[in-house]
Amino acid sequence: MRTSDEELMMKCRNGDMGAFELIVMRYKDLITNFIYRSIGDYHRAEDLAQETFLRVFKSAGRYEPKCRFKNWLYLIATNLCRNEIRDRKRRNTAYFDDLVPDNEDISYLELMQDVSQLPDELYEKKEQQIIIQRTIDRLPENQRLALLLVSYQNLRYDEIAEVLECSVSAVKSLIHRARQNMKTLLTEVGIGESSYAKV
Amino acid sequence: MLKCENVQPQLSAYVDREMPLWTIQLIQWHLKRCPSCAHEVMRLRQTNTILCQLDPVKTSDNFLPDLMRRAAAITITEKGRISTLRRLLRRLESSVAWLLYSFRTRVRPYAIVASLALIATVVSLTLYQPQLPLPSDDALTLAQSPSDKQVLLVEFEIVPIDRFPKPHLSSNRRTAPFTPVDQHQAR
Repeated sequence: MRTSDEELMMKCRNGDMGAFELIVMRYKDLITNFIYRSIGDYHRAEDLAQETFLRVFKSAGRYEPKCRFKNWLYLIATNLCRNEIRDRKRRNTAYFDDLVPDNEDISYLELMQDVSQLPDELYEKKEQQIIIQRTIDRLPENQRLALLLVSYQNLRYDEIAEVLECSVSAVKSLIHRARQNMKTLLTEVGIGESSYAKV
Repeated sequence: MLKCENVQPQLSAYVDREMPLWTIQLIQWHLKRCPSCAHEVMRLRQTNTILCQLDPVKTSDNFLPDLMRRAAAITITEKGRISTLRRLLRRLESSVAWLLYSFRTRVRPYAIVASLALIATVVSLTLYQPQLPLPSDDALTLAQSPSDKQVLLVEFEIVPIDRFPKPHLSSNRRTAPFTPVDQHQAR
């Protein structure tokens, strides 16, 4: 039987490093993906994912299983993402543009694993992914986080409300506006026009 | 009938199936009749499909060892800083929290079910009145002792019909009920 996250956290409270390792194994990819899509930088996303798990480990002594562990974990990750986005805005750096080469390396290596695709198709796919990521980066902070949580992390609206610390109706509105904005932005950059036209 | 301006803000939640079933059915009913809203749903789904084209990334191989090393460093620092008494208190506190958690998640549902079953049993036992089958005449005869029969016979009295008072139709006085004695007299 699969041990629940809450049980693992209770073991972690007692200093069980094995339980903590199991939690990390379960969520490391999900959290890294979420942070990566939120801030657009893979290496920084890994750092922040590590920071998320370290915060979980430090807070384990105070952890009480009142809400789902997963929501609590996403709450920590979301707060770190928010801080990162605001820090970058404050420093006014062209953050996302600088990081495209890093992303390109990673995407290229991953895409190269799929040998069935031709290089042209690989290139097109890679380009399209970068454009989609940049479009996501153009969304307002809360809309971006809500959209990522529902689209990539498959969280329910009530769970997202817990993570973003707002009401379910606010989440519904955020996601709706995010999708509308995405639709407009994607049409602007020429993605999805043909598929929309077919409908 | 639902109006488009009411339906359109709900379409994103409809695509995610984040609404009650009856609302989904209402919207489906509207979509069959409204091509513009149906088109909007298609566009939202297309956007979702485009978003899902992003490949997931994986953490690097040294992610876990690095993290565990950092966590271990925190543990050592904490151990050096916290006294043994505090550590024991923390362990006790976590055990209590674990017990409460176990009660909430495991024992409590069983306790609720058991309490409900107990209440249902008590209520059903209180309300249940067993209807025993009426004993037959033979059984009555057997059950009664000869002395009872004798008493019944002694008390049996034949009363002439003249001695019954006539019913007073004008008055409110009730007439005497027809008794087995009357039947017997009639014969």
